[in-house]
Amino acid sequence: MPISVVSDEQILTLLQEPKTQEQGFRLLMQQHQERLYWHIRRMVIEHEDANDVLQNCLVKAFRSIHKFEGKSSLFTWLYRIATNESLTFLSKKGRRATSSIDDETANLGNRLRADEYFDGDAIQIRLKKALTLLPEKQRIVFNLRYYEEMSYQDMSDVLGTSVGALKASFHHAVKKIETYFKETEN
Amino acid sequence: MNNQEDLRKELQSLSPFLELLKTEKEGFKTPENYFDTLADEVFWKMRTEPELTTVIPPRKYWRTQLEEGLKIFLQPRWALALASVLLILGTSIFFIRPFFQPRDAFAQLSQDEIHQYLMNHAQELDRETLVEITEQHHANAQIDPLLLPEGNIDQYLDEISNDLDPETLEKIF
Repeated sequence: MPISVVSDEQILTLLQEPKTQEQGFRLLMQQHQERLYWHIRRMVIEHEDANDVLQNCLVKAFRSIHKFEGKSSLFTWLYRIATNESLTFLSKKGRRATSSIDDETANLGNRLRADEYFDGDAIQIRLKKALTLLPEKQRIVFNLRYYEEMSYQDMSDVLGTSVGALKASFHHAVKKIETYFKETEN
Repeated sequence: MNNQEDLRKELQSLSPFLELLKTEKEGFKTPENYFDTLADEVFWKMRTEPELTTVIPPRKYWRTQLEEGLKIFLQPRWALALASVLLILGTSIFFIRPFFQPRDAFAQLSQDEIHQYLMNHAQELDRETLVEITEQHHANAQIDPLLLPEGNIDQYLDEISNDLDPETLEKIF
């Protein structure tokens, strides 16, 4: 079945029957896995971490698909799980970390340069550093808007925050990033 | 206006620098064929973690779940058990019920207690009730209660109390 024509209803129908559950979930993954991955990757930065978080997110989604009430799209529902999983991961990682956030930010450049799955230039590394200094939820808003070009209404559905608050959050994030670039300019 | 155009205009007003930066590649990569093999990896993970493989109930509506629940009781073993329980309950209720009826309060009374009870509750009786008692249960009474002066009701009850049984007492009160 071509991915482009598979609707949420068709996927949910497949997921209801034990015989077609796996097929349904594979279709669901094919449709959304890439966007979910990039959403998670921008939060956790490293590929191995993103892979772990994404797999946990998909396993959770598969286990709890019967709880999906159809009040939102499957995509929105999956984004919520992915966001929560990413925040949980970062929270655990933050508790394990022995260094301060400033040290983490300073080390990020070295980590990215050593990462075989990152080939961005110096200015991209600075942008990633600037993002790590944002509060987590502000960073999520920035990523969803800037990189994923999500509408404020869709973001509101995913994050459960008003459109006005999201616009303000994005505005603050952009200003903080600009300030970081100005302050770190040589 | 689509999201891309909407964002471009927003960035133009907020930060032309970030708008320009957006045209460059981000720098993140994935291993080769990562997305082609991801589904297999996820299913392998679920199969190797036993608690994850059996907890994926199909999406059911409450009516389906109710019907499936009721079907259990149609299986011979469960139907027999249910019938036995209902039979025991029904029989128990049949035998136990008489012990809980109000008349039991009078059934245990002796004749002396009936007499005492009548004397204590004489004020609750009117003359019409006494006539009724006389007609139905004390046909041989020598005294017509309707002719009794008000103060002599106690005396009348005193006289008939020896002839009243607990069943009659229950009907009076």
